[in-house]
Amino acid sequence: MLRASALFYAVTVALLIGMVSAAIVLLAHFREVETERWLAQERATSNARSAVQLACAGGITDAQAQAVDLFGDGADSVLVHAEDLGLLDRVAVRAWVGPDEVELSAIIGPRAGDPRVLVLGGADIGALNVCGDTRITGDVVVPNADVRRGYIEGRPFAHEQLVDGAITASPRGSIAVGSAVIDRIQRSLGRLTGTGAVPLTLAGLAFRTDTGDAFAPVPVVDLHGQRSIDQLRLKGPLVLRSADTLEIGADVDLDMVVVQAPFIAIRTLRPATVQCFAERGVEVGAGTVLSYPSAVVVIAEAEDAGQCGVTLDSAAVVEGAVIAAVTARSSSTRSAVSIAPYATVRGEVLCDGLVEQRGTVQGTVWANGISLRTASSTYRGHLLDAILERPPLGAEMGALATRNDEHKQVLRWTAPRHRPRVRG
Amino acid sequence: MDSTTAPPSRARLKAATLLESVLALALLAGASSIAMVIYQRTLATSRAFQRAAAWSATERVLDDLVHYPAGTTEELGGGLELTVDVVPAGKGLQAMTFTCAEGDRTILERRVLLPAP
Repeated sequence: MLRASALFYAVTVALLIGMVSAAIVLLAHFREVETERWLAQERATSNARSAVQLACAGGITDAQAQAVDLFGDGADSVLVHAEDLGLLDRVAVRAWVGPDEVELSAIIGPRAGDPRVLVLGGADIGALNVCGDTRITGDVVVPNADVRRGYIEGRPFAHEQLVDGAITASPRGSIAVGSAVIDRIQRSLGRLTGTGAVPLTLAGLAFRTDTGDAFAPVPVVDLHGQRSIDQLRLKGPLVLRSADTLEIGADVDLDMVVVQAPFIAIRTLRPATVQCFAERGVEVGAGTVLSYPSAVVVIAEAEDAGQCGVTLDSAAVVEGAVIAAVTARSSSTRSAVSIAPYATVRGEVLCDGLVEQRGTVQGTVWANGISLRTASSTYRGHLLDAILERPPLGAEMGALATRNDEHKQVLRWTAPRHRPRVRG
Repeated sequence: MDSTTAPPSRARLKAATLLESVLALALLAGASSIAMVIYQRTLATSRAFQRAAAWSATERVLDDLVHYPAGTTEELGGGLELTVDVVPAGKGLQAMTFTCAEGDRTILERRVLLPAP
């Protein structure tokens, strides 16, 4: 039998104590390493978000990805790429600290809108007649500052105050969709769908391998002869293009999708975030909700297109911008926006033709006239049961069309992606 | 005496000499003391948690900017102090610098670009 003396036991215990101490030191060291790594990733993510704020302030102007020294001392450099995505901007950022890098992207756009609720062009000389349960809460700009009580179809104006706000005379000249807005839309669509675009089919979308890559080009899905889509889940940024009329069915989930077609009928009953660009018209179906930041844009270029424009059916909701414009020189083409009863626009309505407003607009309506169609006739300069009001504080959704050159805000972030840095 | 019956056990540590006993005790005391010193030094020199706490404090300030104007200094506890500086950084932007220090030693410095108010 092994007989141990006191010294033997003491050595054994001392060894045990030494091992525990070494374990404490090692654990502390690993903790330091992990915490420093976490801090490096957090710092890279913070730099990436700072770069997006720089893009919001207009500090990124080059169309190519560029390296930016955020604070001017060479310690916090990022790679930034900003591009038009319709009326919005998409910013992709790659930031690195040590051996780790992070990629994220953001959708940015202007948010704060005009304080006025109605701005009519000065070319229209008639008065603005308010009828029925029309409520105007906010400042208006109308020809000759002339607002009157109206009476239509047996419906007199039901309230005491015509306008709960200031009434100002329209300046001379017509309301026009600015060339800057039209150029931006045409430039953006041309770049997104032109050479260098990544063409895909609907089936091919399932095999994309660059999802989550902030610097990957926006894929373009050409629908060719397909005139309707249904039972689809599409997550953007993504462009859907058709050369023919396109109907988007009730069971389509669209998130950050740009749709381009001559005529678009969107009837999805799932909340969607979509920018529609058409040449003949866009119809937003009953009960369809297009969440912010969405846009419905019709720009008619054909010489004899007749009436082109946007129609919002009953209970349709558009949060963002509704734009109808004519760039054709021929006077036979007219733009129009029609907002049905119980339809809602939160943001801007910008039309260089006539607007028929029978629903609710929380934001600003810019138009060259107001029209109203009833079963018996069409009236000019009449509002019936229309609601024009300012949006609630903090819920502004205006300015995608009229303030696109001003300071922008981040409207949507993507989750940051961390990975080891790849040099070169 | 019966050979199958063992005498009652009265085992105890055996030391050949008093010197061996003293050496054994001294060895145990020394090992224990070194372990305590290593443990205390590890805690004292570990800056990881301090830096992580400082970073969390800066995140808290960013979530509540209204109450932290330029030049604000806040005690974070444990001898840490957080200072917030703001300078304009171009059109519509401000650069916010957070400095967390323990006495004269800077634990963490963080810079962020934010929209100007």
